[in-house]
Amino acid sequence: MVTVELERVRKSYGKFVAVDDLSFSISAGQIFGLLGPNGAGKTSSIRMMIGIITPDAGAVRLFGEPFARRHLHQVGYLPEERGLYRKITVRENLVLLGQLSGLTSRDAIARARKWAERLDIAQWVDKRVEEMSKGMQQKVQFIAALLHEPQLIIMDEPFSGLDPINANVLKDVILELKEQGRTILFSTHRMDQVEKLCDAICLVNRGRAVLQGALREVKASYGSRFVQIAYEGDGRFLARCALVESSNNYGNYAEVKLRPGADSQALLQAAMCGAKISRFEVMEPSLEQIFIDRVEKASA
Amino acid sequence: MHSSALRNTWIICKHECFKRVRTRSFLITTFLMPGFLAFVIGIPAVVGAHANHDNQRIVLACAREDLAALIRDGLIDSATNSYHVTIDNDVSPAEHQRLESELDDGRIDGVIWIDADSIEKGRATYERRTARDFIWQQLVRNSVSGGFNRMRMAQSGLSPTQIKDMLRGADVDIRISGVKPGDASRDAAAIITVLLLATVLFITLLSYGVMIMRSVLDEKASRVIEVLLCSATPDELMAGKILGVGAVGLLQVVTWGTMGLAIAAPRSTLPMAGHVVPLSLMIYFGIFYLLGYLLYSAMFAAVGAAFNSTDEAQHWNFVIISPLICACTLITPVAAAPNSTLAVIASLVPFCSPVLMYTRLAVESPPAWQIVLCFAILIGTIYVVQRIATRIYRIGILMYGKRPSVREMFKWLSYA
Repeated sequence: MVTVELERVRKSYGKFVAVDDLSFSISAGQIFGLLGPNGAGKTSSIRMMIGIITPDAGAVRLFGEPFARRHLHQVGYLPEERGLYRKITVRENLVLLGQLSGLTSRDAIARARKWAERLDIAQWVDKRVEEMSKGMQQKVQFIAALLHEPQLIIMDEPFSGLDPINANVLKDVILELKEQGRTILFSTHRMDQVEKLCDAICLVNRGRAVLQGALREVKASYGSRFVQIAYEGDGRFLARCALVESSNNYGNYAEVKLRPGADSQALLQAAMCGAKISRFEVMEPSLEQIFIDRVEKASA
Repeated sequence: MHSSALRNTWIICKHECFKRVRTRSFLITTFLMPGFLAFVIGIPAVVGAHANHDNQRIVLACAREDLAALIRDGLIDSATNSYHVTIDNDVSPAEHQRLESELDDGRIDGVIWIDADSIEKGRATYERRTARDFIWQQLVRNSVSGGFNRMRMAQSGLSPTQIKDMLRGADVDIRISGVKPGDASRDAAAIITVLLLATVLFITLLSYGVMIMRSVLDEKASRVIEVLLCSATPDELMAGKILGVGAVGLLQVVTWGTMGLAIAAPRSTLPMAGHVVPLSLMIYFGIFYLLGYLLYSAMFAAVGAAFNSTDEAQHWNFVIISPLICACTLITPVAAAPNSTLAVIASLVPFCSPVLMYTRLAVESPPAWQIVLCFAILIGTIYVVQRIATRIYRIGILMYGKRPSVREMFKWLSYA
């Protein structure tokens, strides 16, 4: 079953076209990554999915039906920036947002308490939001999105502001939600997280989808023209080598994309002439490499 | 309205109301503000009363003893305060000089000078140390003039009884059509009270409108609005906010009114006493507060949604409150001439009518057609303004970044 479907959706603000003929679908139980540079149209796409704005053309379907506000009781939304009232307590925030999502006040309090214990912020429930750290506020925001047990959870940069330990706790919760059959949409720049968690992606640039599909298939379609090299010494061989189409050099570590038909062994030999190689690995491209490659191509 | 829309509006309304009612600032403004106002208003009254009871030393220098006695009697009869009037029959230039020097030294506070020439010409001089106490100056004028009249009447052969009878005058019983004789509601104290209420109306409309604007700006800045919009429509959010903040305002005004009545009731001489402001005016106050609030709060909400900060919104803020300030400045002229063309027109202008029609109702009984027309125009305007404001709000709350121009805001009206 398809949980979210955008079909040839278009949205413009005056002369500026934010989303242009965008289509993608998210299957139930999938973790989906909506990727793209700033201003690519991700936020507008999400806003159309949750009915904050309406598309100028095209159709948005949720749970197999044309968008209707009643579907929103099955949607949880975690915005990129903290969307909480700072002057009231965590409990009051959660009760308000829970009630607006269809819960009774009593249910909202009970669930909020359960989640607060799970995420280790139980002692902060009666504190004002402004007294909390950014990471803790992010946890509260996370709870607000999950309180009404939605089937579709939309998260904009869910790991921002979290330390590695708390990021790990949240990752476990997300995987648990996936096991329960919930559909999760990520909108993010953090390619490492997407790579570890997502089943499918859609890369948008200037309002259009430039790449989409199952993550495994997307990476496989790029072939094995990517090489990671850890080295010591002179790295100028990368610039001189005719086998290299493009490279991302960090000084003692480089990610290299070979020209079509180029032999990776020839690159290894060339590299060994100028530097001491401690690791040489031919691999599928990282999502970050794909992202940069596609966005640069689209912008060229 | 759909039941879920009503539910969401109610949830937002409750949240906005309770969030504010529990704050320290609400408790302070609700319970301490009346005390503060009473203090601010009371101090000048106390000072004024004290000033009237100053021990003023006045010398009445008069060439004729009988005239001096008549003037002094007039002064003492009229004055309710403690003036010491000393008669001096020496009206020589040297005495004049001496009195002037005493006046300069502050040993006396005033000199009424009536020499023989003055008596002949019917012209007296009153020299005083300060320009204050206008009431006393009027009293001196009346008493001197009255003294001269009595003296002339006595000179023409009339007996004191005849003079008293001639100067008895007549009382004028002022009645207002539609008001029962003896009804205290239209006396000076009542008018002062209702004018005070009109001012309270102005202050509450302004302060709660600005409160709405700040609240919307805050939600926009903190991005709470994005989360709320995932569960409720902009119309539900705006309606809930307006109703919630309006309820806080109403609660505050009712609390002030109750406190005022409770304090004033045992003191029947105070203008705030319950019988002074009739129930009908209290009801009108409630109606005009609600209508005025619905009109202004929608505009403030739209401005809050359209801009990113209080600074950015300041210009439009001023545009909105201008008619309200204009209405406030017209309270006194409208109260003084409630049937003038200015008063009639100004009280029909919807942005001024909550304050000015209320003022007119407080001081006279405007024709029924004017009251009906005022309500019709006001309600019609509220409908149009609410529709426009809702459209601006819907788009504005999601617009971040640069300040929108008027042209852009007009464009927003066509988006929704």
